[in-house]
This record gives sequence, structure tokens and C-alpha cells, in this order.
Amino acid sequence: MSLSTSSSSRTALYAILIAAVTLVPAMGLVNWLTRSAESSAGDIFGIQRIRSVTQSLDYMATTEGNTALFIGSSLVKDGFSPRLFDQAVKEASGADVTSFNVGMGNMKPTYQKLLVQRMADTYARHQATAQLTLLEFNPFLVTEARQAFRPFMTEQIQAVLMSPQQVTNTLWEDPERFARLLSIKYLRHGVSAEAITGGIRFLVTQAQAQAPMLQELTQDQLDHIQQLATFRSRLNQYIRQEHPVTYKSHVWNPVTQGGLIDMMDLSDEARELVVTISQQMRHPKAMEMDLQGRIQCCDIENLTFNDKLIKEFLDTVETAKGFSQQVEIVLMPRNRDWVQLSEQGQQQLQQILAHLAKRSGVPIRNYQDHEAFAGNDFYDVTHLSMDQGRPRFSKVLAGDLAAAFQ
Amino acid sequence: MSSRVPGAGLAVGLTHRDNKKNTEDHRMLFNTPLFLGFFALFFVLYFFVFTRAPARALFLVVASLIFYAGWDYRFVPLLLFSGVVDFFVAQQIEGHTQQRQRKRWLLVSIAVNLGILGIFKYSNFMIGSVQETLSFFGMPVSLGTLEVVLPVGISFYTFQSMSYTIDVYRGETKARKNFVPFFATLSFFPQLVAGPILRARQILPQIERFPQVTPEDVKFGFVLITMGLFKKTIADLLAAPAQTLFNGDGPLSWIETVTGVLAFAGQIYGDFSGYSDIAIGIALLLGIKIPLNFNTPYFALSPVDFWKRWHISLSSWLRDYLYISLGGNRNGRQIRNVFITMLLGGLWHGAAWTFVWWGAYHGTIISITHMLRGTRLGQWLNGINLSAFRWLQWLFTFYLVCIGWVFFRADNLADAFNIIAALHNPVSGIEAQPYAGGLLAMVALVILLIHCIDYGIVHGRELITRRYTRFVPLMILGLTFTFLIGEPGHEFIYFQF
Repeated sequence: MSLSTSSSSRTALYAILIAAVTLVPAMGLVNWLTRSAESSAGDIFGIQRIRSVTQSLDYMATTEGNTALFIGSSLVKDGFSPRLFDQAVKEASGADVTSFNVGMGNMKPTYQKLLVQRMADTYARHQATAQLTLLEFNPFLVTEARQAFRPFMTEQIQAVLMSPQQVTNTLWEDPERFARLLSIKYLRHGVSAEAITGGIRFLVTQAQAQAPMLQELTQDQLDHIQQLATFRSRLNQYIRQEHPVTYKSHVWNPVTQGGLIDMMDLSDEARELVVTISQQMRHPKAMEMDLQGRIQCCDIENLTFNDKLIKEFLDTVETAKGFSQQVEIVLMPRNRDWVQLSEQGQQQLQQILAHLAKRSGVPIRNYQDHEAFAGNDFYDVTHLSMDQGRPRFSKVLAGDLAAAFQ
Repeated sequence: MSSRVPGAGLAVGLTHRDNKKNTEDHRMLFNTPLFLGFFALFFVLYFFVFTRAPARALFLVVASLIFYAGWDYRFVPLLLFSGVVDFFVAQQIEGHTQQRQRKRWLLVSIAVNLGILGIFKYSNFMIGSVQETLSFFGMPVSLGTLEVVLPVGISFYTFQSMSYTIDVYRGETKARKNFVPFFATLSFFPQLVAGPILRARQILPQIERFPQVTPEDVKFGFVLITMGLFKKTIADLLAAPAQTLFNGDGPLSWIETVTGVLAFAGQIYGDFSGYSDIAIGIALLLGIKIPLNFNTPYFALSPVDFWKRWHISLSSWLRDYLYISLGGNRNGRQIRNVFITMLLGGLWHGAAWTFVWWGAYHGTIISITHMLRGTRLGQWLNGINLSAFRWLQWLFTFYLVCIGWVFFRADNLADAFNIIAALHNPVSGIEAQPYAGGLLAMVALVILLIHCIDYGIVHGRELITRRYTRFVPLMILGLTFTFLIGEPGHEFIYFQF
């Protein structure tokens, strides 16, 4: 029996038209909404720096002369100044070096591995090598707790980090994932649905968790929080005025070699404000709350490591060896005033460092307990401060590595 | 008390969603780009290549088997087996004139279908129950368990297949001579894995002649798909507060317990009615008309009324093929038959005592409703024509339904009873989390929103589809919301049945 073909086909075409008329604008709206949310609300989805790093890989690979890459987490992003490092290397050894800060928030080894693979591809394409690659091993980012923390971010960060080729490679392994990555990367401007809903849930959870603590705050402490917010806002204004192009310092830019804005970039008034903010941020109550957060999210004291993350870190080291003449592992300084490892934590860390040294075969520079760093070098329980910790660390590191560039 | 009982600390509504997300699997979920790609290709071939009815039916079978294999290819032979047996049995029933032989063949069909269900769905439940019973009487034995995996959609297609042989037996439909259209109806992919459960007499004539698709069908099909996805997205959001109650690890305040129960009521409604709407919408795009499966169920004014609005295809199947077969309301056995029907309806949902209790609970409240109707009190209540009384009726029915959902969702009966106890203890002394009241209000609003959508689908078809100025913006907004926050790949709850 033949069906009424022409009428049937006409209706089918009508259905396709309806699909196009509704689906295409809906997808466009999603793209516009995610794009405008990002541009108007800042880095609320935590991907601006990641995206900007991936867009700058060619720049890093084609930079002439001796280059050094420091790849790691926000501890590297906040704690390492490439320009101060280069200057200190020059002073110490006379060598010219251009270093880059490739530190990004949430950079657990899963993401590090993807990024370094992409770097390897980029350097291979340009037939270039880096002289030195430092890979940060951040103990509290390789714990079981951290692996389970904010899982809704995973697909989004991976989609942004992956090259088009890497996304295509997922097609035959997992077509569903391929479609999701493609959608996140190109249709949704890097923002996944999970990041939106998970992010909202996470913020409300945080608010609920902190509400009892906030209720306990004294009027002095509340005033202090208010004051800090005012100072920060003023500093942002200064930075915007003084650095109209690079004021979004979380976005990777070649002017600062991927580093954040440094004290030397600021006017006297702004510098004064930075010092004040650092001091204010070290308020005991704020530090205590920050520490609790780190214990919950990352098991920062006991350090129960996740095997998969450790393996991914070792894979990352192997990949880095392919495009870098020298690879080293670095552990950033620890705020010993606040973060005290338990006995278990200390043992776990020693064991894992021995394991890494044996399996990777590269030197490990461990600044966790370095005597040069004290509590006032940090602005919270983990990150080095802009006014003291960052310049100090950049110089200490340069002193230790200067010989490598001679 | 297990750790699931009014439960969980912090963050009502803010834990992760409880429906499994199969990022490792390549499953053909409606809310995934993979299905979108599959359906787009299918649609083009269906309308532009396979334009003759026999070829189209065969293509539909092949596509449905690919769809099913996308879930688990190992169970394709089981689906084929079920279809072949009932196709053959139906011919035998029709070929015999003697009632005894016809009945014997019907029993073969029922035995095979229930046998398949029994082995794959209930075997371990039965073994476990026997072990527990013997253990209770001081005779502990270890009977082991069978290594079986529940084939997706088995409860739906076995019931659908049985309805065909029963209809042939009753003379309500003719046994088909051509296997392909028959099997195309049984394996029809839009409704294969989670219904609605179709009757052969509803769908077979359509598949045999493939009626013309009208532009109105297309538009309404799109409305159903979009609104179904929208409801599913909302249901996924409600999963979190429900999970906090049912899978949490600490005591909850009264307000959070209420929120959790309400959230599950909204979740299961949005999830399942959303799935049904998408299935019906997809079928409509292909020119196949399937009756709606939900009709604003939480607006029901009695438990009987609820079951006329909830999962209509199952409740009508149970009525027509079980309740009527048991004798219906004849011989003064209405209460017994209602109870048995609902008990087995509960068991149909899953092999667990919580589902048996859920069925028994609904059997009880429906029976009480029927009994009450025959009394003076019932007649007096029925005669009250005050809107305030209607509101009370609605509220009480909704309350009864929500109690039922606790049995449905809880991991075990102890948890269920503990949650129900907590639900009735507003002075438990447990302090609510900040913003708990706000979350309760949001959950209630979301349930209302799903109902508004349902109401629009049932009563506002013309209003929505008549004008493009209404239809197109509504579709765009619905799809935008779904794409923006709808996490692809979240399973639908009813897939587990």
C-alpha cells in the first residue's frame, strides 16, 4: 500500500521547518545567555582563565629564547610572578629567560593532563621546546575529597581545555559524551547545564552551611567584613584606572606573562591598599572559616590521596617531558601557621613524594616547609599574598633555578 | 533506623540528583543529543525514503530494535521472543472455536509473559522473601540469588503484548497475519522502555495504514515534546530535596521532611508525565496517536479520581485486564478485586515490599472511598456543594497520595514508617536549616507549575497551537529553559520498572 507521499512529505517538511524555527533560536538564546552571563557577571563559571590560557598556547610556544612554564593551580596563579622570577634569574645568573604563569583555579591532575597534552600538541606543531617546565603537585588537590568536590564542573572544564581534535577523538569512544562536549564547547560558550544548576546548589549549600557561623559573628567581625569589601572595591577601581587593558588579571595575558598584576604595577595608594587588604584578610575568624572549608573540600590535613589523580599527575609529567628539555615537580609553600598536617597526612605526603620521585624520575622541589615563608606571606590559609609571599617565592624559586638557565 | 530516615543534614535540596547519570553508557534517553541525532535521521528516512506502508513498518521495527539495542542489545532476543509467542498464540486463539482450547492458548501467552517477568524481575525478590520467611520461623537457609539483569521496559512491553492476546481472546481485535506491523506496535520505540502501555487495538490499525500527519499533529507533537522536556528538567531539580530526605544521613526538621515528600511528589510527576508527553509527542510527529497518560493528577478530589488521572494507560490496563477479569464490581466483590488489583499494580512497579505496601495502601484507600460512597455519610458528604469543602477534599486526597509516595520512594518499610512518623510530628525539636521555608514554597510552586503545564496540554491544545504568535515563542522559551539548565542524560525514574 502506497501512502499519500506528497502530502506526507509536505507535512514532514513542515515539521522540519517548525523544528528549525524553534530549535535554532532556542540554541541561539542559550548561547547569548551564557555569553552575556559570563561577560557581565565576571568569571562566575570559573572558565575565563582556562579559556584564555588555551588561547595563548601558541604565543607561549612561539616565544623566542629560553622559556619556562609553571603549570599548576591557583596557588601558582597567585603565588608566582613571572616577571619577578625572570628579573631574579637575570640578576642571579645573567641569563635571559621568559617564564609564564600557567596557574589556574581547580587545576587537579585530570585537567592538568589535558592541558599539558594540548601544550605538547602546540609545541610539536611549532617544532619548539620549552627549556623548563615546572609542574605543581598540590597535595590537597589530589585527595579523595577533592576528587568528589564539585563534580558538576568536570565536564565543563574538560570541554574548554580540550582541543577540537581531542573532542573529536571522543566520538567513537562515547558518542553521547562527544555530543555533550561539542555542545558545551561551541553552543554553550563553555558553560554546561551542570555548572549552572550545580553552581546554584553549591552556592545555596555554602550559604546554608555558613549561615550558623555568620550568625555567631560579632559586630566587630561583621564590620571587618564590610570594611574589607570596601577596600577591595577601591582596589579594583585603582586597578581599572591604572591598567585599563589588563585589569582582568585572572584572564591570561602576555603583558604579565600570565601572572597577575604585581605590586610594581600599582601606584603608591593602590599598593598601600593591597597591604591593608592582605592584613585584613588574615583576620583569625576569616582564616578559621577558610581552613574549615579546605578541610571539608580537600581533606587538607589528612591527605587521603586518590590513586587515579596520582596516576594522571604522573601521566602529565611524562607528557611534559615530550616538549620540555627539563621537567621538575614543585610543591608550593604551606601556611604552617594554619595548615598542620596530621600524622597520617605527613606520612601520606612523604610516601607519595617518594612514589612520584621514583616513578617520574624528575627532581621534586618541595617548598611546603621552606623556612623563608611565614604566616604573613599568605592572604588566606593556602595562597601566597601579592605584597609579600608572591615576590618572595618568585625570588626564592629563581635563586634555586638560576643555574638551570646558564 | 537506617541512615536514610529523615535524614540529612545540611542543605535541603542541595545535594546531587538521585537519578543515575550514565555518562559511560550510550543510552538512548530522550533528553540526550544522541537521541536527537537518532530521531532526526529516523524522521527523514521514515518520511522521505520508506514511503510505502510495509517498508515503513519494517523500517520502524529495525529502528526500534536499534533503539532498544542502544540500551542493552542482549535483551533484543527477549523482546523478539515475547512478540513471536504472542503473535503465534493470538493466531491459535482465533483459529480455535472451542472455548477451552482458546483459553488454553491464552494461558500460554499469560504464562510466558508473566514467566518472563517473574524470572527477570521477581525471582530474586521471591527467593529473598522465602529466605526471610523461613528465617523468621527459625529455619535460616541460604537459597542464593540469580544473576539476572532487569531488561529495560520489560514491564511495559509484556503487558502490552498480553493485552493483544487477551483482546483477541475476547474478540475485541483480530489476530494479525502479518508479523511486521504487529511487532512494530510492540517495539514502537517512543513508548518501548517506559510506556504509555498501548493496547494493540489502539495502535495496530494505525501502524497498518500509517495515517496522514496533519500540521496540527506536528504542532501539538512539538508542544508535548517541549513541555515534556521542560517537566523533566524541573523534576530533576526537585530530585535534590527529595534525596536529602530519603537518602540523607541525619535527622531533618518537620518542614524539611514535608519539603522532601512534596519534592518527590513533584519529581515523580514531572519525570514520568514528562517522559510520557515526549513519547506521545514523538509518536504524533509520526502520525501515531496515543492517548494522554496524565491529567493533572494532583488536582484529584479522591483516590479513585487520582487513579483516573495518574498513569492512565496502566490504571486502565489494570482495570480492563485484571479488575474486570477478577469479576469487577459484580457479586459484591468489588473491594476484594480493587485491593488485589492495586496490590498487583504496586508489585508491577518493582520487586520490593515497599511497592507491595504502596499498592496495598492505594487498594485500601480506594476501597474505603468505595465503601464510603455506599453509606449515608458518603452521600451526605457528596451532597455538600461548598467550594471550601472541595478544597478540603483536594487537600486530603493530595495528603493521602503523598503518604503513598513515601512507601514508593523509601528504601525499605522501616524508613517509610519513620518518615511518615516524622511527617506528623511538627514539634520534633529539630531546628530547620536557614531558608527551609523558602525552599518549601519553591517546591510547592514548582509542583503547581507542572500542573499548569499539564492543564494547558489537556485543555489548551487549540489555544496554544492555533496561532504561531503563541506557539513559536512558547516553544522557544520552553526549549531555551530546557537547554540552559536541563542536564542531559538523567535517567527517567520509570525506566527502572
